[in-house]
Amino acid sequence: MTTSVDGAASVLRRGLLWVAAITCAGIAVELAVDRHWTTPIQLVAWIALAVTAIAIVLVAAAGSAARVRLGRILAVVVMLSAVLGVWEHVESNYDAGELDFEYAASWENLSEPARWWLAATKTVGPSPPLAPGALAQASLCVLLATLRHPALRPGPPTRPMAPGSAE
Amino acid sequence: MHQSQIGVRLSRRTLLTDVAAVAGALVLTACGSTATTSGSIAGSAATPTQAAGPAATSPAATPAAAASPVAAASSPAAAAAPAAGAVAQRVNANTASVAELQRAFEAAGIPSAARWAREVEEYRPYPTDDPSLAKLRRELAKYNPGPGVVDQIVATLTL
Repeated sequence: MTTSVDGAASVLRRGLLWVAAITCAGIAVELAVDRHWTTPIQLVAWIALAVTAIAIVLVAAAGSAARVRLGRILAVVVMLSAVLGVWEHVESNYDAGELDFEYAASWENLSEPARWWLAATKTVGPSPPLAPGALAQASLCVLLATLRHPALRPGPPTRPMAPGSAE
Repeated sequence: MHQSQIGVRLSRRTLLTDVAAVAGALVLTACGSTATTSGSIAGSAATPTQAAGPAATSPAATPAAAASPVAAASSPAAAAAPAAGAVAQRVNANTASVAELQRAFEAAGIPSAARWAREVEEYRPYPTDDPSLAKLRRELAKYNPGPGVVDQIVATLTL
């Protein structure tokens, strides 16, 4: 019974890491298509993507508790960077509000909440506010994959587990 | 004798016309620069992000402002038509500073000149084999600009 539960957990862990890896691939394509490198702040997304990839590898090939813990820390850092990304996108849209011809004349007269609402809903500006949330999702998958990870149990280190490898 | 008097009258009339044209051009240019300055101040008061724009460009703007009346005075038609003046102040899309871009856009009467200048800088470099600045047009279109604004911006830029 215990072996069955462990087997299911292992499959789920691998699945979470695969979801994270596929999400990262999708984000990379999206960032490249969007040429997300025109300003220095936009490079944060690429760095976060690389960190997420490292976290996936650390957790997937975890031979020690230290690697899993490092993977967790990196995943949390990426989640924080995703929050920063959401804020940057909304703020960018806010700054672009006066450029939108539908609001150019009335932007100055709008209340602050109204302006932020228009920016957060991408009514003004070109930046998708929730797009950085994909990074948070990938890192959340990594975090979930570390729950009750065999490498964190006391005892001898377990063998590494690559995404897709047979148990 | 009679012809020489007519010639003198004509030359005086021409001289007076020229002086009036130059004076008119100077007055128009002065009014234009005042309007631009007040517009910048209004813009800087509107958003915190624009506050640095006028302050950063004020010292650098002086030589350009001094140069523009000379260009305008050489052609009364150019002084009378802001659009013609705008084309005269074309700046390089790849190398002009944000301050230079902003001044050119303000001279062309483009609203939110400081903000557009930052956007033009952001999407550099622009291919030199694309005189229509299609890349810039594509990027600026994302901001849902007013009709003709992108054309105005592109008209003030060279490669």
